Amino acid sequence: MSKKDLDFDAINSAAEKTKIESANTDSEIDKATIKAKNFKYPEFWEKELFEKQVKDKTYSGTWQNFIKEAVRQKLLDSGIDIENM
Amino acid sequence: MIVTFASSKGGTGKTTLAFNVAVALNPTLCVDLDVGDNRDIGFTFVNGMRQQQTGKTLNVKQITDRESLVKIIKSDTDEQLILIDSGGLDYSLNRVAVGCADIVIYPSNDKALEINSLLDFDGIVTKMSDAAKRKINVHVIASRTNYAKKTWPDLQNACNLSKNMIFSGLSLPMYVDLSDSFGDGKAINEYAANSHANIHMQQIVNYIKQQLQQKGNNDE
Repeated sequence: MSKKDLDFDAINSAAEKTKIESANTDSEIDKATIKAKNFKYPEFWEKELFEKQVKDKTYSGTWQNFIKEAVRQKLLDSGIDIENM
Repeated sequence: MIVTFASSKGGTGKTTLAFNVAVALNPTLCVDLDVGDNRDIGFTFVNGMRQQQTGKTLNVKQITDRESLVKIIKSDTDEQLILIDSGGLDYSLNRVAVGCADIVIYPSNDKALEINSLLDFDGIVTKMSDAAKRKINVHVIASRTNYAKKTWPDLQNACNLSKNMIFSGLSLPMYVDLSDSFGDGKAINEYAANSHANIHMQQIVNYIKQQLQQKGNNDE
């Protein structure tokens, strides 16, 4: 469609009427569903490490080491010998 | 063809994108709608820097009234290219520029605040699309992101749920070269052709070229 054929009266009118607030109210999207990732600690970190060590402040290492330790402990609990991996 | 750079927020990277794309594509005209209180705060300012620092200039026109904007839009043909850098505020001229564009480029990062604005903007585009009786596709560029980040699931998810927003999959991270090039009045391809920033910008320019080509083919 050539730009000359556009209905400028309708476009101008819509541009005047359409405020962000009205568009927002009419939105059909539940904004709470946008978040793609809902990060959740795995249960074993929460119970066995997070609560015991982080919350009690008995853990003094870095987050990286905390996660490594959590994974290592979980593997050991599952009977996997991490040294042979 | 008309390409409008828009967003419902300020500071999202509209002018950075518009200026760099303008230098790359050499449009017939660049329209600066970001002229709050008649101050040179957007494209006109950057073009002034360009003229001062490099002696080069783009054909930039500040527009503050609807009649002038409509006149420019009516003068558009498929053979020429008009870039419109709209303001970040809720301003009716910006909505006219969106309603009449062949493609709209929307820079946004993936923070909740900007995704919220993106969805509001989608609502506006739906209303402008209904009024103009034409489909308006808004292409989203992940803007001002961390350079190490390669995917933006929240942004992608928001675009999937929206009616008019299409996630390009492209990004323009916050490289220091971009802000430094502005200070020198240069586009990133003139300032640091081998930089990471320029690689991203070239991808964006090529994407816009493809979209314009596709739009031209669909209209024929």
